[in-house]
Amino acid sequence: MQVRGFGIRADLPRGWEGALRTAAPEPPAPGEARTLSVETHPVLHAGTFPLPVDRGDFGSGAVETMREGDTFVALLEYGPQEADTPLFEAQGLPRRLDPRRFSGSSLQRVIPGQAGYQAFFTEAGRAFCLYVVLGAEEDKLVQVRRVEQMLASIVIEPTT
Amino acid sequence: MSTATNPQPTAPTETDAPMSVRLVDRLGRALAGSGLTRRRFLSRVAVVGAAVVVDPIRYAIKPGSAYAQVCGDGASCTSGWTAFCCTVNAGANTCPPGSYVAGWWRIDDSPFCFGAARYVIDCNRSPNATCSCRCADGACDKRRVCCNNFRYGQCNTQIRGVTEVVCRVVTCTAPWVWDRACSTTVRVDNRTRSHNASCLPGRDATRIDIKYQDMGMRGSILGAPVGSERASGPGRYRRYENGTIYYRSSTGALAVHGSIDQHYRERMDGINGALGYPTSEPQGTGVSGGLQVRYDRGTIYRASSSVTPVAVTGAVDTEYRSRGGPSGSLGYPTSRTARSDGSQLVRFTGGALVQVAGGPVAAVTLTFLEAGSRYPTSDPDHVGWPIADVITVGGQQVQRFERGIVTRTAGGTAFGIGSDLADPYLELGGAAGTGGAPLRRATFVAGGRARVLHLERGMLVAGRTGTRLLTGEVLDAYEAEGGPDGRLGLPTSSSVTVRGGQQRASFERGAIVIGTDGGVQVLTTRSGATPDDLATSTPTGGARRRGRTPGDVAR
Repeated sequence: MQVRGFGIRADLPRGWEGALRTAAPEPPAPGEARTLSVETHPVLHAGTFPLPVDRGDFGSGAVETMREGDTFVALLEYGPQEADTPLFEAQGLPRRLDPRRFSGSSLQRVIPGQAGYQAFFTEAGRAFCLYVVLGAEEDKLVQVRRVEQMLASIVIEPTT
Repeated sequence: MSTATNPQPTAPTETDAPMSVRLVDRLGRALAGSGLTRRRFLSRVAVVGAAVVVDPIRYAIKPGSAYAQVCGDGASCTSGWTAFCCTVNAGANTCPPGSYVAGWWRIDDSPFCFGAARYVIDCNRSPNATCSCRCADGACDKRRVCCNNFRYGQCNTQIRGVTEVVCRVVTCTAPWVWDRACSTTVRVDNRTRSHNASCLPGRDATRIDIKYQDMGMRGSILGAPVGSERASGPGRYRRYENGTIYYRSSTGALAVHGSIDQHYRERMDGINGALGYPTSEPQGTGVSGGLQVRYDRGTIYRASSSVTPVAVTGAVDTEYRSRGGPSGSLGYPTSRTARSDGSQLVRFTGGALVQVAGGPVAAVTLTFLEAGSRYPTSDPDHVGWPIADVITVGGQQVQRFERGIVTRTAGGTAFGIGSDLADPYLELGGAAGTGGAPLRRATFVAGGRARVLHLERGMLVAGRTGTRLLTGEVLDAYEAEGGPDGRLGLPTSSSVTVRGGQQRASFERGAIVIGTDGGVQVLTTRSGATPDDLATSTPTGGARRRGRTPGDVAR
């Protein structure tokens, strides 16, 4: 399965499904002029399980449905002005992950048994966050390898 | 924050309670079920009360949903979400010390923001701070504190790394407006739509509640509420320890704090006073760090935090602002005096503006203003407030006041002249007239029966015999005779030049005639004659021609 758009391409390994989307801009309140438009940068979601339609950008709604062997990956882009700032100073999408950096507390929502990993980086002049949730912390060695296979398929193109 | 490394949340513990409290506990347990402490019982009562308010029908049908009604889904510690800051930060909807704004997400169509977007802002542990993972102790918000090592990442990206989320702030204001350290990169999580806490406004919140929430509630500059929300006229308001939030549909909710709001409420009668409702929040004047708050009918200005605010209302404020406000030549207002008829006088560092009883606004220098009120109010030269702008006549500044004028002596000293002398002075052309500019302030003469204004080329006398101007050689002769306090008494005519070039003037007890040859003739009253007789006779003392006056002769 291939997902492609917004200068991001991923050829997902067998067993994965994914989607690329941007957040819908919030309409201004009645009678209220918008003074500053929100930036709706793309979000790539990929999982080894069926992704529910109604899910948060960091996977809420999806991670609750994960089973022990499931994996969820979110790749979220930020505004170009954030590229190379201290938070995003790491260069390049991390394609080799250290299982020891996965933790049961590194989660947006802590769900018993799960383990998470988060990394901010800049690639091709674009700022991103990689967020990974493993269904079972105990099985992280195997699951991390699966995530690395998936990450290897991701191509981030420079913005034109 | 305390130091700890345990990643597992710890539940709050109960302390030993005195007998009275334990009795309440027993009552609470009897009423609310076994196993409840007093605090939890009261919390449950509070939550149930809130739930009844939020959705009475649903709660009546399903009482067990009270917590879910108020705090929403995932409110337990084991649910894995992070608690709201107001739950763990003494009621403040702000990031607690030792944390910083690290990111945010949006919830669309939120019932907590009148159907608009609601924003949840994460406060993460500051890199140099420490905190322990624990469960919150809210009435129903039992979520986790300082446990989830996670970052949304749109704020303060100058700070490296990811730390635990201490708690979450809620706003209906966009985060990049709420805190300029946040970017506009939007992240959405509508799955958290129901998340709330009993310390946050509920679905039944008012605009004032939401304004207070977005300001940080007890962590805001307003402090804690000191009263309930009230309706008044076209709007509503609520008082807090250090300010007030006002709401009208036309302006939205506006918070005014500190000495400006105190001045508005205590000195200007608040929303029932001359200013009306506020139309702005405190905003910079652009001059020396000053503040101003605009109202329906005026503005309150504060030059600095160390000085008392001053209100400027109505047309005076309009005029002041048209002159550049605090950045104009008038500078900041320093005091305001108002009368019951609506008149007001506002002093500024560089002058004053005055409006008397609905008349035009007059600008006045502080020098002229002081000159107009220099003498006691019983003095005829206490001329009150200016009623027109200053004009220049004959090279001399003149300004009309309520009861006269203020002008300058030929030497430049500003002083007031009461209407008895000011009106004829102006009718005679002021400094450009025959007499020229005044030499000094007016004085009482003739035992108080008249006042005299000495001019460069004349003497203006106002008293019981009328208002007369003596000039030239007549004046010289009059002064030689002792003037108003001399034997001739007060003038009963002004100096006139009659046919043939003779100059003359009549007085209570005589007359002065200046011949064409310059000869001076001082005529005094014959025995038995009265001043009135002289007043109606010719200055030469000749045959009486009743019904004629020196003015007739002049014509």
